[in-house]
Amino acid sequence: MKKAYCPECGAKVEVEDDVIVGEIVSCPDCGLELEVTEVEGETVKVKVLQVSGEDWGE
Amino acid sequence: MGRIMPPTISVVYDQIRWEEKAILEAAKSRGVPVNLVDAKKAYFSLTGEEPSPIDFGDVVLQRCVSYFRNLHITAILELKGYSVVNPYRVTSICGNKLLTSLFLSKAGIPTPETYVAFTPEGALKALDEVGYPALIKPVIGSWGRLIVPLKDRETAEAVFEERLYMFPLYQVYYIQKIVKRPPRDLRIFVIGEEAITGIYRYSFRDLKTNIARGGKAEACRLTDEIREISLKAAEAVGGGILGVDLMETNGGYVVHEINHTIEFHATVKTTKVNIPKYIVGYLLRKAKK
Ligand SMILES: Nc1ncnc2c1ncn2[C@@H]1O[C@H](COP(=O)(O)OP(=O)(O)OP(=O)(O)O)[C@@H](O)[C@H]1O
Ligand SMILES: [Zn+2]
Repeated sequence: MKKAYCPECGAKVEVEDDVIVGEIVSCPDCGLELEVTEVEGETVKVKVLQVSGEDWGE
Repeated sequence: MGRIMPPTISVVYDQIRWEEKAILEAAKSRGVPVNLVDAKKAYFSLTGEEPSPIDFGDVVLQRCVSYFRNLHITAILELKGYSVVNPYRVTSICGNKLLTSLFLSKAGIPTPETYVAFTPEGALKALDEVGYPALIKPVIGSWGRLIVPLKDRETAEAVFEERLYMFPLYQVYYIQKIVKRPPRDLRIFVIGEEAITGIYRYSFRDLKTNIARGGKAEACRLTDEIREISLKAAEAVGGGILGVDLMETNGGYVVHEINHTIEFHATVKTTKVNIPKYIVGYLLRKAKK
């Protein structure tokens, strides 16, 4: 397992080893959805997921 | 003679959701190599050779959640000769409710009565035709965003007044009759020539308060009638990997929208139908090889 830190509450978020840039993970403590931005090393980088754009959809 | 290599797939994405992971898994289990392309990091030449070419393989699966990103990248790749799923024409129709209504109606597929106007003045006239209450929907957008019920003329005037200050997209007044229906929709998954599965989506959305999406999914048995209308609707917009949304009315089913970049996590969970496997199978049939 790799890890990340929630930018909102600082909690440790466990991330699968095969994580991909763009993957969405959620913070176990505050429930916030996070987007993975870099996967190099044991600690991956995440940012708060943009909630939604006007042109988002199916 | 070398061994015949399997076709390769590329997936253009802006987010990796459960769906994208499942598609990758399905490809892997068939031994099909996948190149993931992060649309947010890519750039393209519109006028010449690509300065930094990306490997798009033999067929491209377009999965961008952002519609404009999705549509434009599809246009670029198609014009550069790639086989893209779904094609530009299909995505342009399905991503736009006005075009969807036109193509459904032209193909004789039952769809809610709909008008369009381009000013509040025109929209008020359209509303006199439809009668109140009616719905106004943005022509581009999903998940029920900015769909507003107009219960009477005063409400309509107030809503239109507000829209005047919004992006030009909202100066397209797409006005639809509210159909009487149970509080659920059908979502039927059509891949190529086949309707593979479907769910009922129970929305607890109150059209008056317009409370967000979500709600419960339940497996839907595909009757001949459901199959037929869904396949015809998919064909009417050009076909591909599509999610056809139906409502049940007294007069039978009506199609109100067709989704071009389907979400299917809840459906796979409830129906156990392996949608990702069908997607990969379809992509291999569309590969230019
Ligand atoms: N004409 C109508 N009469 C009654 N209810 C409607 C009508 N059109 C839409 N609805 C309800 O509102 C919901 C959202 O409408 P629609 O699918 O057109 O918008 P959307 O933004 O594309 O939503 P989604 O992405 O969830 O399908 C539908 O699922 C349906 O339950
Ligand atoms: Zn947190």
